[in-house]
Amino acid sequence: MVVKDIIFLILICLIFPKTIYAYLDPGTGSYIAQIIVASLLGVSYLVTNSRKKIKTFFAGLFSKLQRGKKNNDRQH
Amino acid sequence: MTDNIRIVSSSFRDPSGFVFLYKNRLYRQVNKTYAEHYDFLIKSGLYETLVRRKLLIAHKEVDVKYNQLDSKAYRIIKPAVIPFISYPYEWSFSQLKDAALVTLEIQKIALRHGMSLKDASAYNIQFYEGRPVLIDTLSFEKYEKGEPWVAYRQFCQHFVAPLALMSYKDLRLNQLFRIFIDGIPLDLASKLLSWQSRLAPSLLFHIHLHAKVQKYFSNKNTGAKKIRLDNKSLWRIIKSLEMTVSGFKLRERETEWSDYYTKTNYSSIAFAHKKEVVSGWLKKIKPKTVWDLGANVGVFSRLASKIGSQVISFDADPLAVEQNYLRCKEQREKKILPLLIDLTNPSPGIGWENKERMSLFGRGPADAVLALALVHHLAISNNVPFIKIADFFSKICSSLIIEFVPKNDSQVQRLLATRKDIFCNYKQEVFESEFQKYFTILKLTKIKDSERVLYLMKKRSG
Repeated sequence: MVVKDIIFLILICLIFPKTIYAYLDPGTGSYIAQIIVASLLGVSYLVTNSRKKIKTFFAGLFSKLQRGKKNNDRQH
Repeated sequence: MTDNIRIVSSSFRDPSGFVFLYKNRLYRQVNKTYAEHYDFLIKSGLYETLVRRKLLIAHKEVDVKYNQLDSKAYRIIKPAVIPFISYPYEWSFSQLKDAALVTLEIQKIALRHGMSLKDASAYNIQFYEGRPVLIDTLSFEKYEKGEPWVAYRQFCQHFVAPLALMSYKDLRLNQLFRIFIDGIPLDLASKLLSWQSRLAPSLLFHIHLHAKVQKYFSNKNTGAKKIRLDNKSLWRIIKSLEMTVSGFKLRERETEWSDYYTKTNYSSIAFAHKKEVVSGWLKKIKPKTVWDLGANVGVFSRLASKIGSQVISFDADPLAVEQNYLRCKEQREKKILPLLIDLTNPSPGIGWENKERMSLFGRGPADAVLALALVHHLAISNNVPFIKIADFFSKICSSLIIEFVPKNDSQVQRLLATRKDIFCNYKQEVFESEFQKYFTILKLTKIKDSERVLYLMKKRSG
């Protein structure tokens, strides 16, 4: 699935909420919708996960710095 | 000699097999084309797991000999019989929600056993001993690695869309099921939901975006079958659906405990006496099946279930049905099924040839009907003459416990407050004479500390 298509669909979903009456076969679209939704869920999972990782990284870094500072203080 | 089998009209679509009646017993034929999947269902241990967890109806393989259509048959199975078939347009919010969660639970277990649900129809779920169970044993197919969930669309139409509409807009919108037999079209659900619902990611994905994608690809050759969905992504979809369904709640003002029984004009003496009389009569007639019409939250249905009757507890108020169901669930009540039915417009036969889903009449009659504090609603609010009510009741039961509410009763006066009193025939003697054309009055008791009268009637034969 092309990223452009996905972004386009999300945008039209948000900007033009009104639908047009038309006969359509929902089967094919649902198949693809599932792929798109799965990708989006994957992206949101990645974002949440990376946010957590970044937080943990900075929290670790911060505590390391704190510890280093304390050690330095003790040495002086 | 031809054996008389009658194919049940709800199962003709599935090429894997069909349900039929033979010598008044219910069977399911498994076709040879489905043999591989059926064998896998049994061998993989999926069937055993689901039955043990009371998620799938149990069956026995039987050796029934009949002539018709035999060449296609691989196995004949005899499933446990569901006492009363009900439909999603007759369920309350929590009944539909529980049916949805059971469907997803089954799908998760199936995937762990290397199978997947090929259907996610709400009609495949029935309430059995108070719990939603899958009744279509042939709903499973071997899962091919990389395949998306083929029943995703159906799940969204049968569960996500109606639950979202009931939760975000109005509890009565599950009635759309009566018009759209394959669930609520997602473009319609998307249009009916408010703009703000797009801000909830679950609804944005499974309804709004889903509907848009359906439309976008409706006239494009996509070669969709080549598209694969890895295992992680498939599980993400299932879990997201589970979170979406679990997150649906009734709006606060709808969850307030309705003061149904405090709204009545009964004194505690009258109410206790009414319960005592009804209970005594039920013990006397010992009905196997009872339809409690206008059951409210099911106080009198419980009297019938206590003596062992299988009770269907009907009401036209979706909140009363909801409260009744939640109480049944809390008390692990196995013999009561609360359902939403408007007696002035009961469920018709719908679907192919109007036969796929049965009418209310088609699912009767019951041994006994309870019609308590109901007649004035039918006769006065809905202008139904006594003779019509008696005729209707005579078609759905053999014993009738009915309450007559006289005109001077404050509840009747309340109904008459905003309309002209054109009901000169609304009198106890007219009520009795009209009902006696269809029933014999066996007992009559005036309720203590009240003007109301209870009758025990027996349907006239012939």
